[in-house]
Amino acid sequence: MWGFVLRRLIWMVPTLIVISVISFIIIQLPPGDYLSSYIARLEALGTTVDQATIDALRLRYGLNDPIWVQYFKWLGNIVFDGNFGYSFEWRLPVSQLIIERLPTTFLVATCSLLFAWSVALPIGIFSAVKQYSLGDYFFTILGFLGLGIPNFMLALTFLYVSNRYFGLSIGGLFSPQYLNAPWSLDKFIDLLSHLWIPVVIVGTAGTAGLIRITRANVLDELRKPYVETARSKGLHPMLLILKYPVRIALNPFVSSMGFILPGMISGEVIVSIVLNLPTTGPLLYAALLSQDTYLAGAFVLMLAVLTVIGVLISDILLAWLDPRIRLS
Amino acid sequence: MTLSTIGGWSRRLVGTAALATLLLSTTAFGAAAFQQSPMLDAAVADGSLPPIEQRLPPEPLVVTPVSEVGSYGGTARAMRSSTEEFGDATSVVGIESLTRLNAEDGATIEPNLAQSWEWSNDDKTLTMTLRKGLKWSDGEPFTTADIAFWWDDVINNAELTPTMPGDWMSAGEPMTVTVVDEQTFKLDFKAPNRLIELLIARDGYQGQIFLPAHFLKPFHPKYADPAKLAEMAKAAGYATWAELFAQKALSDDVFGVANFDSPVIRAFKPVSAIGSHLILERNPFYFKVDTEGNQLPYIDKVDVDLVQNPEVYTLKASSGEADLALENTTITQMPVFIDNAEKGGYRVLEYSAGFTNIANMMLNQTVADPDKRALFQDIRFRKALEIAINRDEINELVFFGLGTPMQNSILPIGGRCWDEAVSKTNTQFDPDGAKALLDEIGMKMDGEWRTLPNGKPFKFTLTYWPGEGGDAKRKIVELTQTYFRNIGLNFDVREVERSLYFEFTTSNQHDMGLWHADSATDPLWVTGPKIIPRTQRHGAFATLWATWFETHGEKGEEPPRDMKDAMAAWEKAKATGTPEALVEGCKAVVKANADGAWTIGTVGAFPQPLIVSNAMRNIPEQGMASWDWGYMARYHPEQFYLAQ
Repeated sequence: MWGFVLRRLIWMVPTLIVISVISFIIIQLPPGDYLSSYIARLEALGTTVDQATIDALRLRYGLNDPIWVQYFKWLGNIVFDGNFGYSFEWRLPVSQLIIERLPTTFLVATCSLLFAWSVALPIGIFSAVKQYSLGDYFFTILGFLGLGIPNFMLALTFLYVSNRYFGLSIGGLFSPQYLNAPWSLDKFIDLLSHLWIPVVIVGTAGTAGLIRITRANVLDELRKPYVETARSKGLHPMLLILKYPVRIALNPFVSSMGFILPGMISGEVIVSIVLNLPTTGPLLYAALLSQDTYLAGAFVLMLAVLTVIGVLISDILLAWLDPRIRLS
Repeated sequence: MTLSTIGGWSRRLVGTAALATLLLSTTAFGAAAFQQSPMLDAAVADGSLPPIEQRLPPEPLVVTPVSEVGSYGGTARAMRSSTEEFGDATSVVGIESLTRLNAEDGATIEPNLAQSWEWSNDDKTLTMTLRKGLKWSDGEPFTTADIAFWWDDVINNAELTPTMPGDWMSAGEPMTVTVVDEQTFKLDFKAPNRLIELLIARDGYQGQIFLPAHFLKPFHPKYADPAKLAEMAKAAGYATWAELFAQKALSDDVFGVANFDSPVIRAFKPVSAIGSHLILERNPFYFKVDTEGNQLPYIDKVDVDLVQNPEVYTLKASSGEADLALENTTITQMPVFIDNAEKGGYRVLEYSAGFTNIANMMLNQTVADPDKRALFQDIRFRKALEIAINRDEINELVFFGLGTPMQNSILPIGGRCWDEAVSKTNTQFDPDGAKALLDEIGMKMDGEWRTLPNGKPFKFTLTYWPGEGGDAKRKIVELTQTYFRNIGLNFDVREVERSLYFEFTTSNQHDMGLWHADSATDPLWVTGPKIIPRTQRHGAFATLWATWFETHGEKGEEPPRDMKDAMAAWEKAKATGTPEALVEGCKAVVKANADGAWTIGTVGAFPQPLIVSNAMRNIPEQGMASWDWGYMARYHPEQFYLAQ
């Protein structure tokens, strides 16, 4: 087992290097660079930028260097100084920008993940056990609706309804009066009253998919001979289902873990923008749009690292959960 | 209010400012006559802040409130939708330049930080005198040393400013800055440069012509140990001292990127950022008072929320979550704003949007295809396109009848530059006349579409970015497509992203471009006119000619006579810079564009909805909301107040 983990860790290094090269190239691929998009935005607002200023800025930001020079400068700073570079757009160090937003990002992501799982698992099992029942149809329809409605649409509708009929302030995680306030019970309640909206919206999309997967997996298992045997032995039906078929049906949850970690950082960008959440999603989106090279690069790299780590964790968990994998 | 009231609004061409006159005078107040915001009382009482008399200059600038003397307190809420967009925030916080432009006529220059200024007889030397006793928000004196530091150590430092900004050059040479005493400084130019007076009134704010020297010197290698500075920069996460300095000196767009360290001269100073909110607080050393001696601003705090999604901006504005919103409140959303006004607790004011055209179409006269080029250079073809457009219909369908059918021009505000006849050139709707012109050129119908004069099939495409102005551009483009197709032209439309648009048009890969025509106020048109092919980025109607102008004849192709004349008129106006020269140049350029049918205008001079919460007072009932007008900054935001 430990040899397996060690091997995987060593393999991560070349994987990450390749990913960093590819991500840097992808970020540089669109025509123009940060400056051309910056200038385009300024011009759209009405500012006029003269060529001398543009040249000066290009020189200052080192955008005249060939791409491989820029790449090695960037990677060198990360590896040797832990310096992820400078965000052109925010004019702040990249690490500071990202770290500021991590707590809220993880809060929203964890809550919506827990929400999705706690809703999807019982419904999935129920739908499988009571296949083709009225309840199954009801949840299936609900699930497909959840899958079909775009998240941002749902978010806008929620915003409208919660503002119009419940008088909640739009977006964000706090009402204006609590923004500056120190933590208190009222502030916590205010947070909860805002938090459920992104949690439900982000959660719903995942829920629908998870319900279908759980249902299909449990159904597969239910028909297997060992279930029949256990049943004929008189094992309590509830205990039987939870102990055997469900345990196996959990595998897809665990193996999707690899994508949950990066999803926490980049997930639901559009929903976060619509809901005005101070998470990393909107930051990533803006960085890609404005070709803010180092900020976008840091994100892509971070996502890659998280994916690689996530996959490793899910493999380990899978081995732990399923003796068939562990022992084969 | 309902939509029907919109119909009652006058189709105002001239945005005559009916706002209550803002009388600016410097009256001597008795020392005991000054009052301050209760927010500052505690700090004064415990001695951490000097008393009001010591904070204000001996002769503070007196601002006459728009309608009444206000009361202190409150937090004004504003929004921004990206790091660059600062219109709403500027409207609440204001801008302080050395001098300022009058809001009513748009052109008269008034004292602000500078109390007086005069030109030498040859118009080469500008002597400015700063107000005595001005202080930065940390209490340090604001003097000519702050201007000298900006010039000597920032502009003339190759690492901070690799290339001298064009504004400070005259006849190819940089100006010289001479400090006479603590209050007086001189700018010397090689050639007469009256224009600089205008530029200083518009852009002479912190970061543009002065910087807090006392605060920034510890971050500059001329005054600090370079080795320690390099260490400091590294510790803060920057690669060089110049990056650190740039961050510390940041003030040109304080709303995008908060700089909490630097002192300011404006009414509010950024103090913290919480999530998407940026909080600003009053500057206790601000130099203006109202007519009763109350130190301004009235408002204590400003909360600027970053709202990236335009629908959410509209939703928030229409539910009253901002005290002032104008930058992204487009006319196409007018019905939404009016419907929700009562529930949201706000008013909708009809300001003039600073566009002479939101969709200014530009047929590329230097297009690469030789057949198309010959056709596009034929003025009859361009005229046919102009009169094929039904501008009244566009006005009704897109602007609720509130705009004005017009060519790309200069807005009538101030009235000096405005010529109605010129602006209406070829704006009549005459599809038969258009068809006749196309027949005359020899574009025969072949099946569904007309061919080129030489009989080859013809198709042309509009490349555009639909942003800015809500969905007005998209709607106008859709209508235009039907108008052009109605006269038998195979016309297609391609939507692209903003930077891609510039990639296409600057590399001459487009038949037709489209951009919004702003920078269209008198006298500021001169700084960035969009109706002459001045730069590649704004010369989509003649990319190669624009290249020729921009590279002084090195690249591109030589433009025709009329375009060169218009460029010369603009350059003359810019070089002379006197008010008379600006008006003369303006008229020449507008006329050349209209006569030459260089750009195809549709509907302009339309209103911009201004959302004002019921609590927000002292906002002029009419005015203009545009970038080159400084949004609301000209209307003295420091005298806005929140009624309790």
